[in-house]
Amino acid sequence: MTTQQAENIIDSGSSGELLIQIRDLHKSFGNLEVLKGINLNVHKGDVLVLIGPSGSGKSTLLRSVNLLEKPTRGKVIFENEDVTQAGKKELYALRQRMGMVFQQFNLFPHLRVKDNITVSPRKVLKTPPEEAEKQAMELLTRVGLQDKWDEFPSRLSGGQKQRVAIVRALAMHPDVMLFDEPTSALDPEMVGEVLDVMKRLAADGMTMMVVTHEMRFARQVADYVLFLDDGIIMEAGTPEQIFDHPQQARTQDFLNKVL
Amino acid sequence: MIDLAKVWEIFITKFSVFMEGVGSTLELAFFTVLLGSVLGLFVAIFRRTKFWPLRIIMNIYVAFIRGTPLLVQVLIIVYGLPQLGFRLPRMTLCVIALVINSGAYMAELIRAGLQSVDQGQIEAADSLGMSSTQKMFNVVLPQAIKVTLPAVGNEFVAIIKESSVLYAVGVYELTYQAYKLASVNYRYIETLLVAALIYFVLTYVATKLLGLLERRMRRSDNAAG
Ligand SMILES: Nc1ncnc2c1ncn2[C@@H]1O[C@H](COP(=O)(O)OP(=O)(O)O)[C@@H](O)[C@H]1O
Ligand SMILES: [Mg+2]
Repeated sequence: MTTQQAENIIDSGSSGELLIQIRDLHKSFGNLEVLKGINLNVHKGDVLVLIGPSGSGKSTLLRSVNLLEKPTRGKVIFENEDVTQAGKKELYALRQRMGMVFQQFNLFPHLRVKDNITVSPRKVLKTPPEEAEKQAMELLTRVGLQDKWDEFPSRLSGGQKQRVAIVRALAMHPDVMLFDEPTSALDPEMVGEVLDVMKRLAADGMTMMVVTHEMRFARQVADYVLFLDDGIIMEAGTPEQIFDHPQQARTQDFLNKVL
Repeated sequence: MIDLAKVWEIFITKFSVFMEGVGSTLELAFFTVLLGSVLGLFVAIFRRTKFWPLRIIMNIYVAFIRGTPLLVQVLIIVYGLPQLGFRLPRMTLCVIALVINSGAYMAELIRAGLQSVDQGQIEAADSLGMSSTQKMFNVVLPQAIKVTLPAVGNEFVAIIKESSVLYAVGVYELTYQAYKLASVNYRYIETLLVAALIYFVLTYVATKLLGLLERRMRRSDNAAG
């Protein structure tokens, strides 16, 4: 168990090789300092779950990894490349290896399911269309949505949209998947179908960083749990450590509220 | 007194003259909307570039066109370009004038369309590693165009009416044809009423057709959410 002080680096601790190194990461929006020095190692194959109160900086941290937010200080090193220093082209290339799933799905409404999935492999990776479609169909079948191939997103339920969004990200063959509250916008009866897909992904060895309020999921799937509070990693550890023996008063407070 | 029977008689006896005018008016409106959309699209995209001189030039163009009368723009192009050595057919000059005018308005419409695209989708495209160009052509533009299309239809209807200022430079569009007839038969009210009624039928039918098209498009792909 670790409490973050100064340069203490939180390490997801598995034996897998280092995939992401976050160092001294700060982010401010105007005068508001949202991230106040994050230091974190993420190893290949690990599933990290980020929990914490609303506004604590969980989304900002996740979005700094693929530079949807530009950090004000510090760096993010992904597969030995500094994301924060990357030029335009390098950044595009880096992002291709990081999948992201959003709370609001963000499917492209003007494209059918098949095109939502294949547009980036075709346009960005220059995968031949038949090959892109073959892979898309395989992935879609794995999440049980092969019959939605020709539908527009507006015809899908929330749970179906989110599964398509996961497939769209996977179609780029990412080395890490970033999930920002993937089930928070869903009706309760659809949460399970999305979490199931994520569990299988974790079991298949995907490296994942997941912001979620689904504590049962966190306990089951996480290798490591980070509790963010007010822009710092207040406490981190295995699910047992965090959920059963939280050391910090703030962590205990938070868990009492959500559990 | 207005002689309604005379209105009908003028319409029937001079049918081909009016139809020639209708043809020119529709032709002008068609080419103006077509080329004006393309111009507007480029202007709207250039107004978003990081290269600020281009952005400023485009902003000046839009502000200038929107802040000056169409008739003055038409006179400048139709008489000014030949003076500068561009000897083009009158009709072509008129299309150029209308396109330059319409392009500025279209740029505004398209800009609104581009801005209407949900930020979340832009982030999704970013997260997939798309470049700015790939994002523009695969995500932003297709949606912006769909949003803008009804307004482009309205622009077509507006140009049918506004192109009547071209009577001042003697292009055989509908107003000119009517005015020419009236100055021979001295039936100003009746003859111009015919023109007005034809304009009304044109814009009414065009509006209805565009509404129909819009509804069908929305139903066919159902791509609202
Ligand atoms: N683009 C932004 N502009 C200004 N403030 C922002 C922006 N994004 C997030 N914030 C602020 O940063 C803080 C942390 O936000 P966020 O990372 O979304 O928290 P969490 O995901 O943990 O709820 C919040 O106070 C939020 O209002
Ligand atoms: Mg958030």
